[in-house]
Amino acid sequence: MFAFIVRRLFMLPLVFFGVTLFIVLLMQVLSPFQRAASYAQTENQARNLDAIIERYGLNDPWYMQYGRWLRQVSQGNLGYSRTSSEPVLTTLRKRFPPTAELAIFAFFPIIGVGIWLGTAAALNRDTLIDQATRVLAIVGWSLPTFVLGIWLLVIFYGGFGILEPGRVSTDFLIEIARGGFKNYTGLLTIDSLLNGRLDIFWDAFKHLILPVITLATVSSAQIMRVMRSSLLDALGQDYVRTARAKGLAERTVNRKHARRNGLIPVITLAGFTLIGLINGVIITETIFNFPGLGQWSAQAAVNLDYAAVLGFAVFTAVIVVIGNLIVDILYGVIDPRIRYD
Amino acid sequence: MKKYLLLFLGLVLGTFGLAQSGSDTFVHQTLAGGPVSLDPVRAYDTASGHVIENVYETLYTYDGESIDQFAPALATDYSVSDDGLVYTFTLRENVPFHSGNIMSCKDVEYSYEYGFVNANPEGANVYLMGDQLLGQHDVDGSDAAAYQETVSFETIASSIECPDGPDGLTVQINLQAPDPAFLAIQAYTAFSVIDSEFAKANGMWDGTEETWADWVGRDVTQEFLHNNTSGTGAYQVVEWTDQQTILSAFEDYWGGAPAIQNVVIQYVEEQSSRILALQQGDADRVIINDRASLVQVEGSPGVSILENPEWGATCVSPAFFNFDINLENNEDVGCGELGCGVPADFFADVNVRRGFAHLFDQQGFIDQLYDGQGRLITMGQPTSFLGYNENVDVRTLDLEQAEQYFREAFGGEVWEQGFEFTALYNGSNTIRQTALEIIAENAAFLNPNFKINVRSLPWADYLARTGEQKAPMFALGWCADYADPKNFIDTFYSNSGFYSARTAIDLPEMQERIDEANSITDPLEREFLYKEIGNLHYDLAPMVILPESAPFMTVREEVQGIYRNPMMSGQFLFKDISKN
Repeated sequence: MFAFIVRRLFMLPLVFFGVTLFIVLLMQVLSPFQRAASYAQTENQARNLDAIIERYGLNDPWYMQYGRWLRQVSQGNLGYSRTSSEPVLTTLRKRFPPTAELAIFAFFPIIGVGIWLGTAAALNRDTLIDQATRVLAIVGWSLPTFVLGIWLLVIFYGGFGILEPGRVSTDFLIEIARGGFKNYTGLLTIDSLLNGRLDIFWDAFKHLILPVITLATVSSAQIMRVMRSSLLDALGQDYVRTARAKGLAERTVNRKHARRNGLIPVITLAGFTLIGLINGVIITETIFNFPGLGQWSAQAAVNLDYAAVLGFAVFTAVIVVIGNLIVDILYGVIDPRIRYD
Repeated sequence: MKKYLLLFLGLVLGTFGLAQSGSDTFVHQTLAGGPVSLDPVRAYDTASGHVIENVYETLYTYDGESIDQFAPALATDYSVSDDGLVYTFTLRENVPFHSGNIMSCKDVEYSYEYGFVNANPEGANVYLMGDQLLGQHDVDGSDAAAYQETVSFETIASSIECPDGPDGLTVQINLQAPDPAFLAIQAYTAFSVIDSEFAKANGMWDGTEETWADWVGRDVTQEFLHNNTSGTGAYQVVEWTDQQTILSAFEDYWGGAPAIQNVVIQYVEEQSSRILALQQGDADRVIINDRASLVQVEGSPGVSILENPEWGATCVSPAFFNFDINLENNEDVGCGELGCGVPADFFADVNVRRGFAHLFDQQGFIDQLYDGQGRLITMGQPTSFLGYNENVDVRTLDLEQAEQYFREAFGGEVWEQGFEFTALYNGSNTIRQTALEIIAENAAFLNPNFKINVRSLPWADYLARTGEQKAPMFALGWCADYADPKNFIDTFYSNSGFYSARTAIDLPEMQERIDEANSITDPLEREFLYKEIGNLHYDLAPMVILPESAPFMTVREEVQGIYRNPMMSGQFLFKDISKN
C-alpha cells in the first residue's frame, strides 16, 4: 500500500508540468498584443499596450516566460494576480477556506440525500417512491444551477428578505475586518464557534443555506441515480439471496450486505464530487456572491490573468491527484478484494 | 425530530433582522473587479479611484457637481504667474494624516516627485502631467533607461518646490508650458497627497536623488503603498479585498468627522443580486448596468431612482471609421476592393462617411436603447465641457441624403458596385452592437449591395484588432481623465491622439485648430476653436457619435446629500452624505 501511495504521488510533478505547460502553450496562441490588452479594462487604460508588453515580457519566447514562472514557483511565488490585485498564493489562501466551507457543507447533504433517495428507490423498485425519486433526480440534474440559484434568491431573499447572498452580514463583516475576531481555520462557521460567537456562526450558516441547496439539488441527483442502480445490482447477487435464505432480517440484508457493495461506485462519484466542489463552483459562487475559488478562477480566465490561471491549475492538479488517491485508498477499505501493492 | 427542525428554523429566521445596513453604515454594491491598487501613482481605474478619492485628497478638488469650478481642499488658495508657468498654493494648516503626521509642503513635494520618479506606465502621472512639468510624456517607466536619459531628477525636483521650507505651507509648481487644464488635472487622484513620512518609514522611495533610479518603472503593486494608506481624507481603509473594501470614518478629519461611520463597497458580479440587495435595504446604492434594467426597481418601496436633466456624462462613445484599413490577413474587409469588400481608403472619402452618418437613426436609438431618456451629441466631447457646440446639427437617419452621398463617393463606384465589410464591437456591449446593427440594416435597405456584417470580439482581441488598424468600422469610447476638452478632442480627432493609431485619422483643417487650441490658455479663444471643431465634425463626419444615455443613480431613500459629479469615480464623496 505504501508503495502504491508513493507511486501515485510521483504523478504529481508530471501532472504539474503537463498542465502548466499546456496552459502556457495555449496562451501563446494569443499574440502579445492580445495578452497585453487583457491588462487594460477600459479604452483609457489601453493607451500604453506597448509598454505593458515590454514590462511583463509578453514578447519573450514561450520557454523564457515559462522558465521565469518556474523560477518564481521554485521560490514559493506563484506570481501576481491582476484579478485579485495580490499575489496568487495569497488569493488561494484566502479563497480556499470559503470554498472548502461550502464544499463541506454541501458534500454531506449531497451524499446523504443521494444515498438515502437512491436506497429508497432501489428498495421500493417500481413503486411510487421509486418513480417519484427518479423524476426528482431527473429534474434536479436537468435544472441549470444558475436558474435554480436565482429562483431561490428571488423567492427567499427577494420575497421574504431572508438568506441573503454573500458570506456574512455587513455588520459582522465590518466587525471581523476591524479585528477582535481570530481566524483559526478560515472557515467562518468553525472560527465563529472557536471565538465563542454563536451569532456569527448562525449568520454564516444562514448564508450557506441557499448555495448548499443549489449545489445539493443538482449533485445529489447524480449520486441518487448511481446508488439506485448499483444497489439494484447488488440486491440481485447470489450472496444477498443466500443471506435471505439464512433468515437474516431484510433490514440487515439491505444495510449490511447489499448497500455496502452498492456504495463502491458511489464512493468514486463522491470523490469526484468533492474534488469538483473544492475546485470551486463558479456559477453558485457568482450567483450568491460567495468569495470562493470558482468565482476568482472564472474571472481570472476571462481576464487572461496568466499567473492566476497557472496558479489555479497547480492547485487543481494537487487536489485532483490527492483526491483520486484518497478515493482509491477508500476503495481498498470498503472492498477487501481490492489490494494495492 | 420535528422540534429540532422548528428550533433550527426559528434560529435561522430569528437572526435575519441583522441583514439591513444600519444608519451609520453605507453599503455600495458595484460591478465585480475591485481596485487595482491603492497607490495613487499606479491606480488608473474607476474602482481604485473610488477608494482613493475618499481616502486621499488633492490640493483643489471639484466643487460639488461642477466640473469646471474647483474648491479648496488641501490648499486654501492659489495664484498663477502672469505667464501661466508658476502655480503657488497655500496649504491648509494643521491637516492630519491618518497616521497622525501633519501635512506640509514636503508631503506635496514628495507625492508629485514620487509620481514622476516611478513614472508608472499603467498610472497617469506622466501621461497627464508629463508635458507640463517634465517637458515630455512619450517616455515613461516602462523603459527605465530611456526615461532617465530623457528626464533628469533635477527636472523632476525643480517642477515642485517648497519656498518656505519642507515644513512650510507654500507649494510652488513650475510648468514648462502654460496649461489651462492644470487645475483640472491636479484634481485627478494620481496627484493625491501622500503622507511622506509614513511612506518613507515603510520602505517606499526615500525622496532622494541617490535612490530615484531604483524606483523608475518599479512595480509598485509589490510595495507598501499598494495596500496601505495614510491620506488626509475623511475615511481610512480598514480592509481591501477583491470582494469588498471597508472604510471607516477618520474622526480627526480636518473638515469634521463624517456622518457615515462605515462604508462598505462590495464588488458583486451578478446584477440580480445587487438589485435584490437594494430592494431589501442591504445595499444603499447599487450600480445598474443599463436603463432597461431600471424597470426591475421602479416602484420598489424605499428605492429612489435619481435623475436630473442637467446631469451630463463624461464618456463619449462613437462608431469610428478607419481611414486607412490594414488589409493584411484581414477577414473583415472581404476581398479588399469595392463590390466584394472594401479598399483600405474606403472611409477616407468624406462622402462615404457622410453617407454612413445618415444611416444611423439617432432618436430611434435613444427610444429603443434608452427608453427615450437620452441626448444627441453633436461632437466628440461631453456636453458640459468647454467648447461643446450645441448649435451644430447632428447627422441622423436620412436615406435620401445617404443615397446622395453614396452616389458621389468614389466617383459613383460605391453605389454601383456596393461594398462588404465587418463592423466590430466588444464582448456583450449591446449598446454598441445595436448601433452598428442599425447602420447595417439601413445600409442594406438603401442598397442591397451594401453589406455590413456585425461581429463581437472579446475585449482583449478587440483592442488587439483595432490596435492593428484592421477594424474597418468599430465602436469604442473614451471617458474623461480630467475636465478639459483637450482630453477628448486630442483623443478623437488629433493625428497623434489615442485613436489615430486605430483610425489613421488625419484631417488638416481639424488638426490646425487642435494645435492652436493646445497652445493657448485663454478660455474664450479656446472655446471658439473647439466650437469650430464641432462645425468641422458635422462637415467632415469623421465618426458617428452615439447618443448618451441620461445618467441615473439607484439609491435607498434614507440616503441624504447625494449629488453627482461625473468626474469623480464614485460620483460623490462619502463624507458628504448621511442616512436617516
